[in-house]
Amino acid sequence: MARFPILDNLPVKQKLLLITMAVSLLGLLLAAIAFAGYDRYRIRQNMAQDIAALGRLVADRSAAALVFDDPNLAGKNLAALQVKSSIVEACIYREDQAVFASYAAGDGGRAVCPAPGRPGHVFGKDSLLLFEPVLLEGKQLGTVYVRASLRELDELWRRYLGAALVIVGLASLAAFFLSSRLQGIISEPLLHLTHTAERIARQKDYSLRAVKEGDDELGVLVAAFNDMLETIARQNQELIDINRDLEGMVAARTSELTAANTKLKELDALKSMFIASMSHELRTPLNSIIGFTGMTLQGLSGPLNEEQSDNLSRVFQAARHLLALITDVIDISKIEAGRIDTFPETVALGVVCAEATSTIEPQLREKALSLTVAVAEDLVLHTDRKRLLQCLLNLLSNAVKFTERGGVTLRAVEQGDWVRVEVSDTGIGIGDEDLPRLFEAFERLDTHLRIKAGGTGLGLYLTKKIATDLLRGRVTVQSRLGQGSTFAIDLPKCLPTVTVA
Amino acid sequence: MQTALIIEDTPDNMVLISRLLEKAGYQTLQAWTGQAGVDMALQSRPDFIILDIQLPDFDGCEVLRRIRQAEAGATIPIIAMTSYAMSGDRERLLAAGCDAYIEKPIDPVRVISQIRRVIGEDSI
Repeated sequence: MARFPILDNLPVKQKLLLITMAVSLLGLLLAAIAFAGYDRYRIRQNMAQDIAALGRLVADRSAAALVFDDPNLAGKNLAALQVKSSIVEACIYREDQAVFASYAAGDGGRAVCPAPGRPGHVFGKDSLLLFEPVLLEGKQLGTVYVRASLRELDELWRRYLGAALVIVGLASLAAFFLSSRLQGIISEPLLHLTHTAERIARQKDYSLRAVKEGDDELGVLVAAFNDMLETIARQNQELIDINRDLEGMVAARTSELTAANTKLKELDALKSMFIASMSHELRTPLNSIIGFTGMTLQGLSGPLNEEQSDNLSRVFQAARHLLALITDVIDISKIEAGRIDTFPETVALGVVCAEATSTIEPQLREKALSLTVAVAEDLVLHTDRKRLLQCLLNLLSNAVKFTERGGVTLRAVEQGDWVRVEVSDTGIGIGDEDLPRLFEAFERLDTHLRIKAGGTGLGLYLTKKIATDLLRGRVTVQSRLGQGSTFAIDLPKCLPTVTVA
Repeated sequence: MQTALIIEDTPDNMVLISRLLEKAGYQTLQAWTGQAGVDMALQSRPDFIILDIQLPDFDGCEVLRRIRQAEAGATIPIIAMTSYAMSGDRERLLAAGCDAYIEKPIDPVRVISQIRRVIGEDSI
């Protein structure tokens, strides 16, 4: 179908009006033009017949004048033509084509007699020319010439055209009013449908319906529209039902989960209680064993012989080892359960380092290892002092354990918002293949060393847990087999206070 | 001879600390509950007090506060002993007015020198 882009955005009402008006105007104009053309032709024909009749009359009357060579009579005959106001001039020619008599309308006019042409009429620019032969018994005696003005005819036709235009105008007006009224038959249902669709889109109310007014295409459209709404409403309802079912299911599952969660929390609390009481119950007798053995070992309860002293010191070491193991296990389980709070405070790193090194000094002395400490005295950070000390002690005692010659170095450097604490040794080092397992629980790399070195096997695992989970830092290691190891802890200068809920 | 008051409810700990102190030349008084500890501290005026934090009747901090509130107990050096597991006690105890803080398990080799440092008898 041909498109008219200009029309696309017009309302249907105006489109209908426009189409109706265009069609009626075209019809009216065509009719007016056809009628006007036909009438003009008919009026001209009538005029030609009139003039021809007059011409023939004059010719018949003038035969005698020509026979008797009486121009006066011929002149009188011509003067009779004045009854017809449209006749401008007339002439009579003799057989030799010389002008015999002439007539001109109005006073003092002079007829211009052209050379006689062929018999019959011809329409000129603004006049009708007629040549009529003067016959007597079949013999041509001369010719009559009549010229009539077409002005009256044109005037008449112009008036006629004006009337036709007025009629067209009136008819157009009538068409406009009629189509204005009648376009509603098509546009009203469309508008109604459009408004209904808009309301539904705006209010999301799918229970609205369009009113069907007939069984034509528009009626079918409205019915289809309503069917569609019905489908949407039904699907909506289905969705709502499914949703409600789902919500019910979710609520049921949620309450199941909540119950399970509560149960888990109870179990978790039970586990924590268990760990706490384990801690207390296991440690209390161990404390007694360590305390009394230590007291006796010091000779405070009387002198001991060499064997007694050796026996007791084995008991003492084993008890301390067991205590360390229990303490580490409790720490790890608490960190893993997220049940350890940190207590950040302002810590002078130099002081904590001194505390740590003083603890391992006896072992260093025993193995004749050197100790180098390079920690700036004014290096201060905000962290959990006790946990930091625990990490340093673990790394330092590891360094001492696995070093036979040379020494241990403790170094601390400030790096922006972080502080790096490094513990280096000149010990046995760690092979590349063992590095990945280094921070796993109960991984001791060499069973021979294990016997000799003691320790829980949890030290590095716990150190990493504390440094990362509690102190929010990182632990890294660099080592080569036979060339010593360097463990580094990177700590944030300021550990935020977060209390475990 | 200086007198130490030991407030402690665990028999082994009580015996261990008492013996260690006696071997080191101190006289000891023993209180098994918080209430007994407060009473003895204010009546007997010991030279220093060793205070366990986990007591059967009330919390060690409460004992500390009651001793410190009384005129007689305001200046007695008090050394608190608390279990390793009770992280965060340190600040609480120092704030409640104790002079020093020893973590359990007590180290039988070092505990006497730790105490002497607090009561100002550090000869080492």
